[in-house]
Amino acid sequence: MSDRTRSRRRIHQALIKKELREVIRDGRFWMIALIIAGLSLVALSFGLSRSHAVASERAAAQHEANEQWRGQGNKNPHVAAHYGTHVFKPVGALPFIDPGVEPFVGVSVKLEAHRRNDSAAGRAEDATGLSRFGGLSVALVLQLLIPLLTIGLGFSAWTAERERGTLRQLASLGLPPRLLAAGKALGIAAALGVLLVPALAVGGAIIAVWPDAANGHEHAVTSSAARSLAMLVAYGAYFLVFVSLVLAVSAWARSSRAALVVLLGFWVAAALVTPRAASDAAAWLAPMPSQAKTATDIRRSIAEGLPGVPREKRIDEITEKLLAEHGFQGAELFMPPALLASTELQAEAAFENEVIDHHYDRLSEAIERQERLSQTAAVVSPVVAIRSLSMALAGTDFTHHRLFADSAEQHRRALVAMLNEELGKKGGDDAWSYEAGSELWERAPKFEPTKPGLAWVLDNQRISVAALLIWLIASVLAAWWGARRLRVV
Amino acid sequence: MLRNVFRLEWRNVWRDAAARAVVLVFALLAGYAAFGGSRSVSAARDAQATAERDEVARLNELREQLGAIAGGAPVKHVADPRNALLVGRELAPRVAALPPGPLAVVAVGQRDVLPAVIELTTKTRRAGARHDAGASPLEKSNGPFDLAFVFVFLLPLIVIALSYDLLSGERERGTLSLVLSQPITLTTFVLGKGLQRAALVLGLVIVLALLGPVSSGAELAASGAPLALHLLLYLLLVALYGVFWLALGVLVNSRGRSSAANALTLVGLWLALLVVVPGLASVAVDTIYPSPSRVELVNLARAAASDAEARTTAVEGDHGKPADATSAEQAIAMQAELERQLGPVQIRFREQHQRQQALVDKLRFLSPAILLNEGLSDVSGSGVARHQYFSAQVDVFHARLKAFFEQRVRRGTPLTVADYDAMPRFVYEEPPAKELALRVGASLLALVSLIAALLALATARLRSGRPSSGR
Repeated sequence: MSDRTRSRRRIHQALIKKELREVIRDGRFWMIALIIAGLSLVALSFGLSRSHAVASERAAAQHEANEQWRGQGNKNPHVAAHYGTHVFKPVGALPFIDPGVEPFVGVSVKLEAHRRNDSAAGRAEDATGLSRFGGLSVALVLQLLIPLLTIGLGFSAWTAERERGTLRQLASLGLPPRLLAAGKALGIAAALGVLLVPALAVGGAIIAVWPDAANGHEHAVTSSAARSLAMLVAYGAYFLVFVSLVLAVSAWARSSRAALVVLLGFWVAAALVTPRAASDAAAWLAPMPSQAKTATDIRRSIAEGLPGVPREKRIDEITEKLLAEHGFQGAELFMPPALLASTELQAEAAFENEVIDHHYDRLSEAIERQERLSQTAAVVSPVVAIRSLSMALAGTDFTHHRLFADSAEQHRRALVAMLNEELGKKGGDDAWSYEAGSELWERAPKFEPTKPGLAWVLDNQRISVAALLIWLIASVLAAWWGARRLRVV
Repeated sequence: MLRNVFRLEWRNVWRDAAARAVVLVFALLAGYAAFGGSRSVSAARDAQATAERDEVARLNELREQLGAIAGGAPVKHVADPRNALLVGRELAPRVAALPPGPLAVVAVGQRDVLPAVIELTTKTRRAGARHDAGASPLEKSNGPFDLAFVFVFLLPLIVIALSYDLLSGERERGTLSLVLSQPITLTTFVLGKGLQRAALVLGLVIVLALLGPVSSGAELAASGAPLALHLLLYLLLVALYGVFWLALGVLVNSRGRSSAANALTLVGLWLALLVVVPGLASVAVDTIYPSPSRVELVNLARAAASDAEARTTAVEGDHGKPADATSAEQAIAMQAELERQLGPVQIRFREQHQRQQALVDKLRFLSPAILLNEGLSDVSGSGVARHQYFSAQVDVFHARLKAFFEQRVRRGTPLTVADYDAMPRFVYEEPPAKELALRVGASLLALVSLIAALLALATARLRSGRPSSGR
């Protein structure tokens, strides 16, 4: 290592030390840090106890539902398909960090023959008016309060030096501006670190023991290690955006006061106004069909068939195909009666599934259109980007919910198909008086919810990831450029 | 002298491009919120009208079938309009709707999560499928962009922007010494400036607050509640809330710190009153009175219904099994048994919700923001309280509906047109205006005393003369 680099490094260290010392000697920093630490602690312990309760509650409920299914007594397999069962949503990977949309969606789906039910048993109805303030979560602290703290720490980083007259001194050192800017950024980052590193240690410890805490709930989304790491990176980038923005504005501003006003204005616009305005405007510009309309459309299509293909015609087509598979095409009369009944039931179910798919595909398209639109607001607000990314990584966004609903539907189809098939195999001459028992209920397929990996999440969050990156590059460039053109007096 | 200060300040604020921009942006946001509010209220009204129309259409269809059967048409036993048991529990679900409140345009409140249309059969009581798009889960979790949001969250920030340098700015520009060399006291000067800001804020707030009601004029006329009272309470709430933040600004300025320090202090207070206190209050409510588990209820309901369902599959007959004639009495007995098991659970939910709301009613005094938010929910009729009132009426109606059909099932004769005419109908009654006036009145009183206290403190500080001209 040359002397030159060594002395540079020493200057660099001295700069960071100076910035950090300035912050740490400020009584206000400690007060705010204490408040934020206290809040994080409350949010973390509340979030944790809530997710713990939810996880064990759902595990118990799933167990109970499975027991009910097994203990339903002797009955005809198709009657059992009508009786159905319930599946419960697995708890997200990191719900205690970001509850996301979880409080506003259902958590259990009733599975039964002939229909796809919406998820139910959500908690939204149990909330008081206080929920309008957004509740208290770790995500709230990270997304809203830390940026505000960053603003408080750094708005006068450059302007105060100029106002005190120390900027001239600093400039006379002959250091490149980017080094000075980096020193200031690291100073603020170090101050944030004083607060964040202990929080991170606590959070990390919790995540490490979480699978056990989930009480053997086998459905808990896995890959939480990768997700936690990604979340760490995402929030790191997000904080860096704010540190750089604060430094950039402080370099460009005429006075500390102007810098503060601009930064607070930005925070209000980015953190308060844009997320609400974006989801509100998206719902207006890309409206979704009403629940009642979708339900009516499905009911009508099941009664009449999809446009252009009448119900009976389509069911006949499917029946023919199934008969051919069994080797009885055109020879139904020679078929065992139960097998014929079963084939007809299968054909009816296949037709219903086609109808359901048709309508749900359109619904999904509408939902995705609206979501893309509201995600696009991330271009004007990094808060929108991190919100979306954070709940996706926590496994608590609407996309994860829909994935659960879809895998419940796939399970329903497998279950109904298996029961109908059983009717054909065992029903003999009189399908409808045949009764199966617990042996069959035991053999029924088990619900295996899809466990999406990190790649899937990031693919869904392309817009947010890209927006966050753009914000990062732009803000770092602005901070660097601001330091270069800094006026000394 | 006071008048001179007042007039001078008008000119100063008017010439300040930043102040003009702040006011303009705020007005635009309020305008957008009012527009969105009237959009969602008319969608909600249309949705209810559709649900009610569907109900009438269903009944008319059944009546027609009744006529056709009398004329000799064949009877479909799974849809027999003469079968009281079947009509009561399946064929003719009744609708109970909570119309949007008189000022629903102001606040979404809990309207997007609590069902406004409830569908009732003798067997079930559940939220009817929504006929409007409703809010997406993301929208619900972000919160609505309504006038309540604009006033509760953004108005304080606008007031802070207009008042954080009320006195400190004069000192920093060096104009304070100049002013105080005139025959005027510091207190009068600040009073004049404060009054000007108050006039500005009040004018702005009242004009913007009226945007909502004006933009949905037609809707207002339709509701039965005393509109004048609601409007008056609404305007008073918002105006006093604005004045509260202004008084806070004056108090912070009276400490004689720099403009930047004032801004930070005021934003810190904003954070405390709008994020920290409500957040902690909601944690407290959830911890002290946690809602019973809806997840457990799923299995509980199923276990209770399991027996009944197993025995009644034949009656409902998805695959054409004939209904059992002797099952009517049995079905009533099973329904009664089901209610005996599940009734207490439902009561537990209701009582816990009432306890939660009672606690919120107390905790609201911890922050003017909660006072305003609850108050706006109340005057707009979008809050939990009015919904609980509605829900209690639905329960009474449900009992009537069940009694009506039970009587006919026991009678054992087919339903006639006269029975269809006598079927109970749900009519919603607004809660007494006195209750609203008392609740909101207490909030207003709290705001007024808070403002008085802040101003007394500020005056005392200014009189002591500490923040004169220098540092």
